[in-house]
Order: sequence, then C-alpha cells, then structure tokens
Amino acid sequence: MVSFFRTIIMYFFVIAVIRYMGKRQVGQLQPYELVIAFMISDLASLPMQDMAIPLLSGIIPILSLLFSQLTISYLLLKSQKARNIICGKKRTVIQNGEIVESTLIKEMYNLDDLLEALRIKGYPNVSDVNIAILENNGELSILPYSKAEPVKRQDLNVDAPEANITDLILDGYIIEENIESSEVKPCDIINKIKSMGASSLKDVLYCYIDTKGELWIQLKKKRTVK
Amino acid sequence: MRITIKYIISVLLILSFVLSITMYFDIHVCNDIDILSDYSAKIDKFIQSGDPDNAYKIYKQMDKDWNVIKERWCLIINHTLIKEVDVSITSMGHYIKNTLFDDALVERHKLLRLFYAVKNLDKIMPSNIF
Repeated sequence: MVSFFRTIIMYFFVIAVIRYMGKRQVGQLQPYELVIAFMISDLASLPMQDMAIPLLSGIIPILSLLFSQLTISYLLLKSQKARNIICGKKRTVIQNGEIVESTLIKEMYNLDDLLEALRIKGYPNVSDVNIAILENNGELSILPYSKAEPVKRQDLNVDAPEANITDLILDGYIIEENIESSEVKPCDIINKIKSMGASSLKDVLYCYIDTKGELWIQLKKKRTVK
Repeated sequence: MRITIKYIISVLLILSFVLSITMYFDIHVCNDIDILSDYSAKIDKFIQSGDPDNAYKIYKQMDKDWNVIKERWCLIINHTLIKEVDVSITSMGHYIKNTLFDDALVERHKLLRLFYAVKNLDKIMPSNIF
C-alpha cells in the first residue's frame, strides 16, 4: 500500500515538474533536455521500487534538475553564445544540391540517415534541395529549389477560405465561448440535433463549424449527418 | 521584464527549497548524532566504572530518544542504515541487561562508526561526491 502511495506521489510530482519545464520538454528535445528527461525518469523510479530509499531522496535531485534546467533555459534565452555551447549549432548538410561531406562527418550523420530524412520530407532527389539544415534537435529542415517546390494557391492566383474550425460541442460538453463568438445560434444546433433523433446536447459526440461555415454534427453511437 | 523577474524568483524559490530542506536535515541529523553519541559515551563511562544499573538507565533514555529521532531520519536517510543503527542500539541494551559488557562496548563502537557514516553522508567532500 505504501508503495502505491509513493508511486502516485512521484507520478504527480514528475508530471508537475515536466509541465513546469515547459512544452519543449515534451516535443522536440534539445540534448540538455533529453538528458534531464532520462535522469528524471530514473530518479523517480528508484524510490518507487526501493522502499528503503526515502521519497525525499528522489524529490530533491529532481528539484535540483528542475533548477538546473530553468537556469540553463534562461541562459539560452539571453545568450547566443550559451545557445551555441549547450545546444550546438545548426549545420548545413546540403548546399546548392550537393551533400556537404564534412558536416556529415562532424555530426556523425550517415548518408542513409540523410537520404531517409529527405525521402520522409518528400525530396528523394538531392539535386532538388537547395539547402538542407540539420537542426539542433536532430530534425532536417529542407529549402528546395523553387522548381522543385509544390505549386501553391498564390502561384495560381486561386483564392480559398482560410482554414478555421470552431469546436462547439465535444463529447456532450458545450463550449459556450465558441458558440457565442460564432454566427450559429444555439437554437439551430438544438433543431438540427432533434432532426437527427437526439433529445439532448449530451448525445452529441462532436459538433463544429467547418471551413465553409457549415454546422457538422456527429451524435454518439455513430449517427452522422451533415 | 515582469516575466523575467517571476522566472528568476521561481528559480530562486526552487533552489532555496532544496537547500533549506537538505540543510534542515543536515543540522538535525548532526544534533541527533551528538545527542546519541553523548548517551553512548555515558554508557561507556558507567560500564567502565562498574555501574551497570546507571548504564542501563542511560540506555533506556537513549532508546526513548532514538525512537523519536528514527522517525525524523526516515524522511531523508536510507532505511537500511537506520535499521542497522536500530539493531545495534537494541543489541547494546540486551548486552547491558545481561551483563555482557564486552559485547555492549563492541556495539557501542559499532554505533559510533554508524553515526560517523550517517554524519558524513551529506557532507560536501570528494569521497562523497565521487
């Protein structure tokens, strides 16, 4: 039972710490953030498994890591030099359609990795790529030659409505501020729901206004009408 | 600017929380060890002077205090180490009660070693850091 409570405490504590570290911690990790994520997971699991280790012995190192992380983040925010030292520099791996070998060697980034990343990004031909940059988080950013770029609406002078979806009801929960700010009246939604055979807004799984301004409703139990 | 100040304050709060907790326990553990060492020195003195009754009386006080100290130590010190101290103190009591004074003195020295280990557990020194 004690083990259960210790685990629950550590779980919520780690969630709080990770949330406090900011959103970047969850998504694209910089090297120093990756290290912290590994260390925190290990530190948190130790007192959970071993009852002889006090919970504070896990909490204090995690808080120390949080302190270090916040300090480093602040330094990175303020200083380009610190960013270069801690996060590294972005490197150009393709320049003018040619692979920069020296960068691949420096970054231990092999050719297979590069070609795989290019394929994933939709540029299997190296010659289509003007510049490819290896970002600090390991992602490859590609700037293709204009001839290899996909055609955009603005190239064809074609107008289209801006994508804007407004959620109105999620799983029976009404998002009142969205209903108020939209042009749809609540009675319209109720009438449509009734016409679909439902009696209450609680029966709605998902309701939103699509890009064309139309009301789209899906009732629970897979009854869909547009 | 306000965000920067908030950020710095939150960082300093975390640092002060960590430092105050560790220092609080450091100070308390050191004080506790001084109290327990004092008891054990008295026990040693009474045993050496052939006064086992007083030695046992002091032991009883030590055991009573230890039970309070133990609860506090559980929050920060590895429980295995606490168990070792616990067993050693209990054994010492039994040895004094059964007039096995040599064994009691051995336990006393064992306790001093354990106290030394606990006291130096959180000291900033190369052997602890590395």
